[in-house]
Amino acid sequence: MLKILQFGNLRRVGFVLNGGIAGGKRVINSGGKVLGLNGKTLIFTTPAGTVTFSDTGGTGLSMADIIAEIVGTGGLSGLKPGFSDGYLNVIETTPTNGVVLAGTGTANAAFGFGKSTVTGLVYDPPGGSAPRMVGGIQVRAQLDGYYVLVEPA
Amino acid sequence: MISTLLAADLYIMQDLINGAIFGGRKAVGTTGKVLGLHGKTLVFNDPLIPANPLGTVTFDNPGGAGLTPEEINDQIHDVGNPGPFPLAIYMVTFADRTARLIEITPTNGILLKGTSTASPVFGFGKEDVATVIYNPFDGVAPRVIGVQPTVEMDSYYATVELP
Repeated sequence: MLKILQFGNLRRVGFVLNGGIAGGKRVINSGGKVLGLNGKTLIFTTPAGTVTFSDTGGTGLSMADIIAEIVGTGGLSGLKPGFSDGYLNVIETTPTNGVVLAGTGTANAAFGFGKSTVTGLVYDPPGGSAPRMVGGIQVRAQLDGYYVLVEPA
Repeated sequence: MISTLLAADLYIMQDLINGAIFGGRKAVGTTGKVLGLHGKTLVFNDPLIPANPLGTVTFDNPGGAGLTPEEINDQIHDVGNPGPFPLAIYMVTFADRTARLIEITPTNGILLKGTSTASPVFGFGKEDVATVIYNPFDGVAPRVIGVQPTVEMDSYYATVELP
């Protein structure tokens, strides 16, 4: 089957085509911190590792704290987490397999990931094998974003 | 043979190249329900062997209060009854109150018979409707060669090769 992916900007195109996943919830509060994460988990299956957030004082974790806990205590050095407009983005440091996040992590809801497995795909170029792009990156008719025709599998 | 498909937006285009059948009328009323389905049918044949029946759903709504999209899909999927469930591969979605019938996992396309008495309710037409799943540009026909905005920049077209 073919699918049409749509994006607001080119940075997002590159992120998704290289297997990145993003939370659906803007998590940073006015104090610049995320509250309520202590003891909650994000369970990555590709690359494999679980981060259990630590915020024993309950004062909240900054974006830098969250990034450090994912790659540090979570042992997920193969991941490059970051934030874009308050949304958590996670991509492999070297895009290879795509990031896969289990639906069972107790911190999923906090970041807007939901209860289903979230699977990032690293797309090949048009001459490669699926998942692959089936054409180039195109500008939307409304000139407000981009789209790519892909073959996911 | 080269042809083109035209779609108002990319979501419609995606469903079009994945074998959806589009209703031609606003089937969902202001109550959020589709009226007039009781006793009416959608009749499906196997798109790979068009003479072979695949299954028929006969909608049940004796009170006539109408069926929600969820109830319509439950009846297509025969939820709550013993299997087999040959039509569980299909689903109806509604966009702007207009029905869109599609395979949940696009595989073979859909063959909806013109004898379906519920077709006029959804605006699916009175003739047999057969759809196909388009392959990528380097596959066999039917295949999509490319998807581009129209020159008016208000919609999209796909250049396709038909068998």
